[in-house]
Amino acid sequence: MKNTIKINRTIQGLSQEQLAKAVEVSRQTINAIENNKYFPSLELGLKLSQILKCSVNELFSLD
Amino acid sequence: MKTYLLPSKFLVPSGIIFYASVLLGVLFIVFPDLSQNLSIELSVPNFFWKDADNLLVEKSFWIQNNMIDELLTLLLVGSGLIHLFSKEKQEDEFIMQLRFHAMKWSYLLNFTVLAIGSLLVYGLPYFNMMLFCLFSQLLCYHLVFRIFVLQHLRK
Repeated sequence: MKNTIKINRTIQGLSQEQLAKAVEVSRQTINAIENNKYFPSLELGLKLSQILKCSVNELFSLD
Repeated sequence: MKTYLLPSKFLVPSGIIFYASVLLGVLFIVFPDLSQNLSIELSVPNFFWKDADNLLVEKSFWIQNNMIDELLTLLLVGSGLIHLFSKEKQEDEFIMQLRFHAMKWSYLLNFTVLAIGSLLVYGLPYFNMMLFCLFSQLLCYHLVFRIFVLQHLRK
Protein backbone atom coordinates (compact mmCIF):
# COMPACT_ATOMS: atom_id res chain seq x y z
CA MET A 1 0.00 0.00 0.00
CA LYS A 2 1.29 3.49 -0.81
CA ASN A 3 0.07 6.88 0.34
CA THR A 4 0.20 10.54 -0.61
CA ILE A 5 0.15 11.95 2.91
CA LYS A 6 3.43 13.83 2.52
CA ILE A 7 2.23 15.54 -0.69
CA ASN A 8 -1.19 16.42 0.76
CA ARG A 9 0.38 17.60 4.01
CA THR A 10 2.71 19.93 2.08
CA ILE A 11 -0.23 21.23 0.03
CA GLN A 12 -2.06 22.06 3.27
CA GLY A 13 1.12 23.72 4.60
CA LEU A 14 1.31 21.48 7.67
CA SER A 15 4.41 20.13 9.38
CA GLN A 16 4.56 16.53 10.63
CA GLU A 17 4.28 17.87 14.17
CA GLN A 18 1.13 19.92 13.36
CA LEU A 19 -0.53 17.02 11.55
CA ALA A 20 0.37 14.67 14.40
CA LYS A 21 -1.20 17.04 16.92
CA ALA A 22 -4.37 17.38 14.81
CA VAL A 23 -4.92 13.61 14.58
CA GLU A 24 -3.69 12.90 18.16
CA VAL A 25 -0.68 10.73 17.39
CA SER A 26 3.07 11.27 17.74
CA ARG A 27 5.19 12.93 15.06
CA GLN A 28 7.13 9.68 14.75
CA THR A 29 3.92 7.85 13.84
CA ILE A 30 3.22 10.32 11.00
CA ASN A 31 6.81 9.83 9.84
CA ALA A 32 6.37 6.01 9.92
CA ILE A 33 3.12 6.30 7.89
CA GLU A 34 4.71 8.61 5.31
CA ASN A 35 7.61 6.21 4.86
CA ASN A 36 5.29 3.19 4.52
CA LYS A 37 6.66 1.66 7.74
CA TYR A 38 3.21 1.63 9.32
CA PHE A 39 -0.29 1.31 7.91
CA PRO A 40 -2.76 3.33 9.97
CA SER A 41 -6.09 2.08 11.29
CA LEU A 42 -9.31 3.02 9.53
CA GLU A 43 -10.04 5.54 12.29
CA LEU A 44 -6.70 7.29 11.81
CA GLY A 45 -7.06 7.11 8.02
CA LEU A 46 -10.41 8.88 8.22
CA LYS A 47 -9.00 11.53 10.57
CA LEU A 48 -6.09 12.14 8.18
CA SER A 49 -8.44 12.50 5.22
CA GLN A 50 -10.52 15.00 7.20
CA ILE A 51 -7.52 17.14 8.18
CA LEU A 52 -5.86 16.91 4.76
CA LYS A 53 -9.21 17.67 3.05
CA CYS A 54 -9.18 14.78 0.60
CA SER A 55 -10.81 11.36 0.35
CA VAL A 56 -9.30 8.18 1.84
CA ASN A 57 -8.99 6.83 -1.73
CA GLU A 58 -6.82 9.78 -2.67
CA LEU A 59 -4.63 9.29 0.39
CA PHE A 60 -4.15 5.52 0.21
CA SER A 61 -3.93 3.19 -2.74
CA LEU A 62 -2.79 -0.37 -3.40
CA ASP A 63 0.59 -0.93 -5.09
CA MET B 1 -8.15 6.10 20.69
CA LYS B 2 -9.79 4.31 23.61
CA THR B 3 -7.44 1.98 25.48
CA TYR B 4 -7.77 0.13 28.75
CA LEU B 5 -4.32 1.09 30.00
CA LEU B 6 -3.33 2.73 33.28
CA PRO B 7 -2.31 6.43 33.31
CA SER B 8 1.29 7.16 32.35
CA LYS B 9 2.09 8.44 35.87
CA PHE B 10 2.41 4.77 36.90
CA LEU B 11 5.04 4.03 34.25
CA VAL B 12 8.22 5.29 35.96
CA PRO B 13 7.53 4.25 39.60
CA SER B 14 6.41 0.75 38.57
CA GLY B 15 9.45 0.44 36.29
CA ILE B 16 11.83 1.37 39.12
CA ILE B 17 10.18 -1.15 41.49
CA PHE B 18 10.13 -3.85 38.79
CA TYR B 19 13.83 -3.57 37.84
CA ALA B 20 14.83 -3.22 41.52
CA SER B 21 12.93 -6.42 42.38
CA VAL B 22 14.51 -8.21 39.38
CA LEU B 23 17.93 -7.15 40.69
CA LEU B 24 17.01 -8.29 44.21
CA GLY B 25 15.74 -11.63 42.81
CA VAL B 26 19.02 -12.19 40.96
CA LEU B 27 20.95 -11.32 44.17
CA PHE B 28 18.84 -13.86 46.10
CA ILE B 29 19.69 -16.56 43.55
CA VAL B 30 23.41 -15.71 43.45
CA PHE B 31 23.70 -15.21 47.24
CA PRO B 32 21.14 -17.58 48.88
CA ASP B 33 22.31 -16.49 52.38
CA LEU B 34 20.91 -13.02 51.70
CA SER B 35 17.27 -14.22 51.77
CA GLN B 36 17.98 -16.14 54.99
CA ASN B 37 19.34 -12.98 56.64
CA LEU B 38 16.29 -10.96 55.57
CA SER B 39 13.94 -13.44 57.18
CA ILE B 40 10.19 -12.76 57.61
CA GLU B 41 8.99 -15.98 59.30
CA LEU B 42 5.22 -16.45 59.19
CA SER B 43 2.80 -19.30 59.82
CA VAL B 44 1.05 -19.88 56.47
CA PRO B 45 -1.44 -22.45 55.13
CA ASN B 46 0.02 -25.09 52.80
CA PHE B 47 -2.92 -26.25 50.65
CA PHE B 48 -1.10 -29.20 49.07
CA TRP B 49 0.37 -30.45 52.32
CA LYS B 50 -0.48 -34.11 51.55
CA ASP B 51 1.80 -33.98 48.50
CA ALA B 52 4.54 -32.07 50.34
CA ASP B 53 8.08 -33.36 50.22
CA ASN B 54 9.50 -33.54 53.75
CA LEU B 55 12.88 -32.34 52.51
CA LEU B 56 11.57 -29.03 51.15
CA VAL B 57 8.53 -28.35 53.33
CA GLU B 58 6.99 -30.07 56.38
CA LYS B 59 3.90 -32.25 55.90
CA SER B 60 1.26 -30.22 57.72
CA PHE B 61 -1.42 -27.71 56.77
CA TRP B 62 0.10 -24.83 58.78
CA ILE B 63 3.80 -24.38 58.15
CA GLN B 64 6.47 -21.88 59.18
CA ASN B 65 7.85 -20.21 56.10
CA ASN B 66 10.27 -17.39 55.26
CA MET B 67 7.98 -15.12 53.24
CA ILE B 68 10.72 -12.93 51.71
CA ASP B 69 10.77 -14.78 48.36
CA GLU B 70 6.95 -14.84 48.17
CA LEU B 71 6.80 -11.09 48.85
CA LEU B 72 9.50 -10.48 46.25
CA THR B 73 7.51 -12.56 43.72
CA LEU B 74 4.37 -10.50 44.39
CA LEU B 75 6.35 -7.26 44.10
CA LEU B 76 7.98 -8.37 40.84
CA VAL B 77 4.77 -9.62 39.20
CA GLY B 78 2.65 -6.70 40.50
CA SER B 79 5.05 -3.94 39.44
CA GLY B 80 5.82 -5.77 36.19
CA LEU B 81 2.14 -5.92 35.25
CA ILE B 82 1.51 -2.28 36.21
CA HIS B 83 4.55 -1.27 34.13
CA LEU B 84 3.26 -3.42 31.25
CA PHE B 85 -0.24 -1.88 31.33
CA SER B 86 0.82 1.76 31.83
CA LYS B 87 0.45 4.21 28.99
CA GLU B 88 3.54 5.66 27.36
CA LYS B 89 3.87 9.46 27.56
CA GLN B 90 2.57 9.69 24.00
CA GLU B 91 0.42 6.61 23.55
CA ASP B 92 -1.01 6.07 20.06
CA GLU B 93 -1.90 3.19 17.75
CA PHE B 94 1.70 2.75 16.59
CA ILE B 95 2.77 2.19 20.21
CA MET B 96 -0.08 -0.35 20.51
CA GLN B 97 1.37 -2.18 17.53
CA LEU B 98 4.81 -2.08 19.17
CA ARG B 99 3.23 -3.65 22.28
CA PHE B 100 1.90 -6.48 20.15
CA HIS B 101 5.27 -7.01 18.42
CA ALA B 102 7.11 -6.94 21.76
CA MET B 103 4.68 -9.54 23.13
CA LYS B 104 5.25 -11.75 20.09
CA TRP B 105 9.06 -11.52 20.31
CA SER B 106 9.14 -12.03 24.08
CA TYR B 107 7.08 -15.24 23.68
CA LEU B 108 9.38 -16.44 20.93
CA LEU B 109 12.58 -15.64 22.87
CA ASN B 110 11.34 -17.08 26.14
CA PHE B 111 10.10 -20.36 24.71
CA THR B 112 13.22 -20.73 22.53
CA VAL B 113 15.33 -20.52 25.70
CA LEU B 114 13.01 -23.05 27.37
CA ALA B 115 13.17 -25.43 24.39
CA ILE B 116 16.98 -25.25 24.19
CA GLY B 117 17.20 -25.64 27.98
CA SER B 118 14.97 -28.73 27.86
CA LEU B 119 17.56 -30.41 25.62
CA LEU B 120 20.68 -29.22 27.43
CA VAL B 121 19.81 -28.82 31.13
CA TYR B 122 18.79 -31.66 33.49
CA GLY B 123 18.01 -32.13 37.20
CA LEU B 124 17.83 -29.25 39.67
CA PRO B 125 19.40 -26.72 37.26
CA TYR B 126 16.44 -27.44 34.92
CA PHE B 127 14.04 -26.59 37.74
CA ASN B 128 15.94 -23.33 38.32
CA MET B 129 15.82 -22.59 34.60
CA MET B 130 12.05 -23.13 34.56
CA LEU B 131 11.77 -20.75 37.50
CA PHE B 132 13.82 -18.20 35.56
CA CYS B 133 11.61 -18.65 32.46
CA LEU B 134 8.53 -18.00 34.58
CA PHE B 135 9.70 -14.43 35.20
CA SER B 136 11.83 -13.85 32.11
CA GLN B 137 8.68 -13.62 29.97
CA LEU B 138 7.79 -10.37 31.73
CA LEU B 139 11.38 -9.09 31.71
CA CYS B 140 11.84 -10.03 28.06
CA TYR B 141 8.67 -8.16 27.09
CA HIS B 142 9.74 -5.00 28.92
CA LEU B 143 13.22 -5.00 27.39
CA VAL B 144 12.04 -5.74 23.83
CA PHE B 145 9.23 -3.16 24.07
CA ARG B 146 11.61 -0.48 25.42
CA ILE B 147 14.06 -1.15 22.55
CA PHE B 148 11.20 -0.84 20.02
CA VAL B 149 9.94 2.40 21.59
CA LEU B 150 13.45 3.94 21.67
CA GLN B 151 13.98 2.97 18.02
CA HIS B 152 10.60 4.53 17.13
CA LEU B 153 11.28 7.77 19.03
CA ARG B 154 14.73 8.16 17.47
CA LYS B 155 13.21 8.51 13.99
